[in-house]
Amino acid sequence: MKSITAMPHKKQAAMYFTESFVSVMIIGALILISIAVIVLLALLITDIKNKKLW
Amino acid sequence: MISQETGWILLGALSVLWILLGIYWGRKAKSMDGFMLAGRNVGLAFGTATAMATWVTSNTTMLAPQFALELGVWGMLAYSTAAFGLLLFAPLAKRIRSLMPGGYTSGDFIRLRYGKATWILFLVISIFYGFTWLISMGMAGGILMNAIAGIPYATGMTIILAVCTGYTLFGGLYAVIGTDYIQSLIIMAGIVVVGIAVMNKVDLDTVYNHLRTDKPMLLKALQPAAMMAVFNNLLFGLGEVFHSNVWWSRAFAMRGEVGKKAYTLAGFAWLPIPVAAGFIALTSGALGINVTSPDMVGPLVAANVLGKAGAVIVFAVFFCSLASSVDSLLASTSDLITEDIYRKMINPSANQQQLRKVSAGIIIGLAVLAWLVCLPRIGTLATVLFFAGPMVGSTIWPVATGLYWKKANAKGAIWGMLAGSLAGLAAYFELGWYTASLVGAAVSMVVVVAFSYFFPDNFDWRRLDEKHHGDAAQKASSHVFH
Repeated sequence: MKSITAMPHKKQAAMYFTESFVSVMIIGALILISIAVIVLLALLITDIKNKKLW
Repeated sequence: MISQETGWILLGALSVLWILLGIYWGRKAKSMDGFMLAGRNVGLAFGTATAMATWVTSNTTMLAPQFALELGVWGMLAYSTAAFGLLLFAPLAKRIRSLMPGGYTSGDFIRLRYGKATWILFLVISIFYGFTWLISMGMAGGILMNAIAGIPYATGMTIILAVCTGYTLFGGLYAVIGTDYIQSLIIMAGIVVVGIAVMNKVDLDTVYNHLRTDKPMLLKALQPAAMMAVFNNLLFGLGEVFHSNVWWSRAFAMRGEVGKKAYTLAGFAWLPIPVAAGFIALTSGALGINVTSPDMVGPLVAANVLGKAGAVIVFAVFFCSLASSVDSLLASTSDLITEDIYRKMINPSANQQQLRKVSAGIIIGLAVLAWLVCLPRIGTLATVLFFAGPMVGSTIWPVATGLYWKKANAKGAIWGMLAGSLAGLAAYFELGWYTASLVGAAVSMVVVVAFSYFFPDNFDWRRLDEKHHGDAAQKASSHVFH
């Protein structure tokens, strides 16, 4: 069996998550959480306005 | 990370806040429906927040970073798949509410759908799981207070359990859901603040290159064990949510049209949290932090990039993630024991005052028992948590098919849970924790489907609505306290 280091460069790169994939995942996660905070606050205001909190 | 004095001030301030809010919201709990199910009228904001906050446990904030450090990118993704528990429970929540408008617990469903024998086995699994989760939270509380503020393990653990018991006793599910809303905001805001601070201190390029050079395994796209952990965690999450009364009680508590939306939104809000928490852990190498205990990497990184402020934020996030789960576990496990054991087995004619007293006694009893088990500081978080995995994994199919499939039957459910649990436990010991839920759920699926095919039932869905079947005890529960 070939070792990873003996493989052609292109194939070796494909075995790892790319930097752009990792960056998008992390930045996307932080953006999603921030949106979730805003959505929760908006839902609270809507529920209070419509008297549907409880 | 912070002085013991600051730790005590924070612990005291948050404890007083939760107890006062518990008393304030607890005034609404005038009936058993109010105490156990927050009046069955919870709106979308509180519904979403309570599902999301309860699912963010100390395990999410401590184990997700540990997963990232041990299994890399796949570890973060694996932990995130637990969000599917909430997402896939969303349609079930709607169906539960419509089939059982007067239901109280997940035990009610199993008893009415599959009969007494399956019900008893289900209660054993469910109470064992709930208690295991409670212990892991109590232990985590003590460990965290000790690691962040130097508060002795036993003292920190005792205070967290006592505070959660206090406000759950005062306000029941009203207090639990109300505090969950505030706790969810603190958790999410805290994670975003620490995440952004980390990115300001060290750019993603540096983190990636550091990992590529020093720990390339963590970036590897093909890792069989880690990929197995993805499916295992997904199924563990599904099993936890599908069977546990923590989630069923919320389905009963939310307005009819709210449950599905609330669980869907909560799932999407929860999904990125393990990724963000995992990322914070992965930066530890690039920041030059020496990680001695993987589950403490989050607080270490936060303190490194934000100084004392970071440690204070992490303290608050951890306290909220612990409290939001401990209160829910105390309330829902107490509901399960009060409704399914005391009212159904011991005293069917119990009135409201008796039920409330019993419920309060069970909440205190559970907390004391958890405290006693937590005191010697046994095992690691992962060990405690994943041991229950195969058992809850084996409940997925009996619950899901029982809600949608008339052919699903009691024999399939009971043998599915038994065979799934045993096979899953064997896999836990023989193969590794990351296969246990997977095996438990797979074996249970085969058994449930086979029994449904060979011995089909023809269940009448109306039997799930006890109120319309003139159950005397059920009628008694609609009265208010006197």
